[in-house]
Amino acid sequence: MAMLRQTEKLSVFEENDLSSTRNKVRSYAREAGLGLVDETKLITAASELTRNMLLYAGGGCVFIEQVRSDGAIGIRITFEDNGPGIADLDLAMSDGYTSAQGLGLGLPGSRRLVDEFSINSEIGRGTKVVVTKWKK
Amino acid sequence: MTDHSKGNPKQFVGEQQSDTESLEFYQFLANGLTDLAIYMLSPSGIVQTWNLGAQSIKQYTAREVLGKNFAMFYTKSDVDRNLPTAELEQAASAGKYEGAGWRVRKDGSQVWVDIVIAPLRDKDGQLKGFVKVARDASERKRAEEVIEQQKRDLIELSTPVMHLWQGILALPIVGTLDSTRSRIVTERLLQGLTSSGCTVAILDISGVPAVDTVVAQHLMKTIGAARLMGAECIISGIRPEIAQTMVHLGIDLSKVKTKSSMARALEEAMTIVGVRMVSDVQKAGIRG
Amino acid sequence: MTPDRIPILKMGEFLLVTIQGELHDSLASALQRELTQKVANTGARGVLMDISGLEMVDSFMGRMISTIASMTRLLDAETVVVGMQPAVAITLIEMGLTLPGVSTAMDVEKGMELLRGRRLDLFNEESNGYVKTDGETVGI
Repeated sequence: MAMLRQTEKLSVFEENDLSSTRNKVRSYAREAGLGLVDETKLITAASELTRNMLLYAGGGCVFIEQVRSDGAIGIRITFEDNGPGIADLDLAMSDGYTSAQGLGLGLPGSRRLVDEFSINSEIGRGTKVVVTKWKK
Repeated sequence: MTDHSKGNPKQFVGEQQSDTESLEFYQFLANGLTDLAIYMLSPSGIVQTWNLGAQSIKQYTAREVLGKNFAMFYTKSDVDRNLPTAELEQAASAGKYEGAGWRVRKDGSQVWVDIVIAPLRDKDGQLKGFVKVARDASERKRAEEVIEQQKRDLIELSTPVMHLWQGILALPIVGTLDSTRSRIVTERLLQGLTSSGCTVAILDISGVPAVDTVVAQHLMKTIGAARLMGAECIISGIRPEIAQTMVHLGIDLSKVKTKSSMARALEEAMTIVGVRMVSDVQKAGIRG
Repeated sequence: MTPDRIPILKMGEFLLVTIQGELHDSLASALQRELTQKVANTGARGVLMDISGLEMVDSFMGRMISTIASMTRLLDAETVVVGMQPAVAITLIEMGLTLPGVSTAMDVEKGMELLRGRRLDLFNEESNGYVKTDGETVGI
């Protein structure tokens, strides 16, 4: 079956945008019928990753879409920023990593909350994280 | 003259036929298939033809829909999400869109349909519109939903949550603990704790045939979640073989309370709960 | 639905904070300030943080809770987090986010029991219906 894509784009530049992002993710998760636990996991991961964008890149864009594949339904969220990028991706993705300010990037934690996770980052260009959670 | 994709109904409109002949042939075909909705749309989704199948599935007569946008058949939430437009765009770019979804009939009731949308192009490849074919799949959908619900019911029935005594919950787990089962056990346990206000839960695994690292992980996560909520878990019913396997696998249960039998677990639970039990026994007028 | 201030209630020798909805950076800092101030002023022995209204706890919120617990402990008051929702607990465990130094209880009442550290001996026949509470014998 073809993948249907209609993507909703949200710009995140200040703290208030965090809660609007969470609410959007919640409504997409509800509509897909993810279930309360998976919905909570997805919203939490989205909150972590959106906050990262705010903290380290001063903001960015969040794209939310419902995806389908072979009868399965899921939610895909893309976090894209033009920030400084992550110098050591392996380190950032390892458990127990905390950056200079003593705040972890929350990446490994977020990865555990979703079914698919991909991250691309280039120094000086920006970072892009894509996560997907499928309805079980 | 390039062919645009497989399954493109442009095949009905062959090069040799005139436009009028093709349209007649199409109408003949469409009217013959009374349980399939087949109709054409303009590039922007305006309904241009209708057939008996469409009328029987959607309940609208041709006069009521011709000239209107096909978005009228979609549910409000689908329209809000721009689903109709997205489906057309997908069909145009990929050559075909196949999907399923809820549509709204004239009387407001909903019907689940399997659909195919295919683009229609002229000799130069210009998009002239779309043809949409839909089939009523409500019965199949309803049957699928019943089966899903039965599956859930079965799993819930085999995972009873018993309120043993004030403050103590017991969950005898019988059967293999796969991912689905574990998820349900965890959710029922935690929800049971919240609803009952119990602070101790006994997870009896004497009915679980095998415990490997994956199962152990599930159990640890469940216990961790219960602890975060303020409740304690005791695992009971660890058979000797299970104990051996777990040690061999290097599973560390040092931070977990374990008992060999439900009776022992109950003893332990009562010690933990202690306070309330004493005052309740006295309230009931029981003297030892 | 975010309040401008999070109210802190005095409940006997404890303080009760009920957190609902999202917690902004500024609100979180204000809460930490006010709470530590109030603990010091009232000499409270414990803080109950009711999160039964929170549908999500991320690492920011988790850090805030741990921070408050550390601060109050320095002031000789234990913090107990109560009412965590099941979905939140499952998510925190999955994330690997622990709340170091934070005690938890199912609800406010049990949280207070925990803070009081009350332990009653099990019903003892020899004591003829009396229950020992903290070494003191109390008649029923």
